[in-house]
Amino acid sequence: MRRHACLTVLLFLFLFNGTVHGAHILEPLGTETAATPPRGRMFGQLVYSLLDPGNQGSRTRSALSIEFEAGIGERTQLNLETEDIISAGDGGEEGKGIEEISFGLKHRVLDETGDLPDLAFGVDFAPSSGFEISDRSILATLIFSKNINPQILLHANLGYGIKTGISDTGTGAAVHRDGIGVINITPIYKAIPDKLMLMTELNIDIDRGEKISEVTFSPEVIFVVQTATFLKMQNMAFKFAFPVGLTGDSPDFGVRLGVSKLF
Amino acid sequence: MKRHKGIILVLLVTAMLFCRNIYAHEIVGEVTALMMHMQNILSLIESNKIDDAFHETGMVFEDFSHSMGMGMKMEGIGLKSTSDDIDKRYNTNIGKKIEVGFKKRDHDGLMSGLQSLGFLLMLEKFDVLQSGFDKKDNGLDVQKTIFWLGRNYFSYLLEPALAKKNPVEAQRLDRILDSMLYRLEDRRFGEFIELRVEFEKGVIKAFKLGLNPVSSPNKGGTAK
Repeated sequence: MRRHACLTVLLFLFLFNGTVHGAHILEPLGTETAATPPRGRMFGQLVYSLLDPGNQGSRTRSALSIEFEAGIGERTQLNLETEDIISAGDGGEEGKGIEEISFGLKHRVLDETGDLPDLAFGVDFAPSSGFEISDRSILATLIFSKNINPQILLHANLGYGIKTGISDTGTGAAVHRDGIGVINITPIYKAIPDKLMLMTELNIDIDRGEKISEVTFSPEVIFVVQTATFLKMQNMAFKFAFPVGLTGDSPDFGVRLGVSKLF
Repeated sequence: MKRHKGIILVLLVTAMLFCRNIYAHEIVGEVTALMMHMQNILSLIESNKIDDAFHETGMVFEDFSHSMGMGMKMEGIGLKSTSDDIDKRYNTNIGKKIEVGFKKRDHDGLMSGLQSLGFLLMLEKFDVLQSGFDKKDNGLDVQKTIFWLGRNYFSYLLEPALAKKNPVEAQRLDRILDSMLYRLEDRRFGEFIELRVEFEKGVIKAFKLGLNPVSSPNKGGTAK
């Protein structure tokens, strides 16, 4: 399944190659931007993550996520994302497989002016969240993007949602419903505008049900391979991030590698 | 798990079908030899490599034919001929501006002249596009091709510099161009023209081009 998904995505990426450009491919790995793909076009991204839990566990976890965002209107996109756990670190099959599939919509409500940011609102629904088939979640997010000056850009997300599931209490099944929250803040330095971007992400994920607050600080670099560099690989963005956990619930450190393209 | 596999495969296939009409955002179709040289000259001026900028200007001021090696040649109409044609069409003085900038080694004047030339070459394509709005035999594909040929001048020659000094305005103008394309696709030509006027005003102001006013709905371009 994983091999088929990867092959399909890679084939997709190269079959539908074209001379492309878009600020959208410059989206950080862990933070949403307010930009949406142009109408009729699609943003695709493949991300590999390797996280070392440090003293929170003995298992290094690796995952592959595939994301598509399709521009369905001038300011609206449809999202599809799936995250597949490749390895849970102990060599066994437990904990492996597709952990989450989510669908969503994002709509840009405000365009950036001198004083105002780009502002978008997004809703994501995960009919499958976690390895329990009954786990579901819905998350609503406010997304801000603002050019502070010609070299510095800031993205920020504020999200709140609900996660539901069925758990066995020992005396029977019970439905649990817990709040989840997301805060992402990413300042970006445009070392070479639209070609080389340096940034640091601060990502906060709160799960009240699991009583987990993951806080990670993640230096990241994005560079774009453009038409003049390679004939075939036109305007693909390559992303490298090195998350470091700041709380006991967070993985100690890791690496994330992504590639994205606008079709 | 099997249900998940099915969902993912269906969505991937749908995504592939959805993306059948693929076209570029930045550059589509031809980038002429002159465009490449103009972009190089502008980049050299911005990088403060003034001598190199004037050397390259000298190479393409008149009509040119350069050997690329391996029996290949890069040929094109030069800056003088191109700007003369544009000046006749739009009653402008761009050719003189470029010539004075080149001969007096005034790199600011040369840069402004090249930016103005790029802008008017873009308008020329939009005028051709607009002249076909009343003609039913102009298919959408042809119109979109002409649109992109015009847009290329902005994306290639003007947008990179604007993104460095005013990324908010660069983004705004880029979105207006996107909207123009959508209006074209939706056959809403009146709105296309209104957006074009807004776009042209934005470019003239952002680059201080010193060109007067913009195209009107009834004319093909009246920049002076």
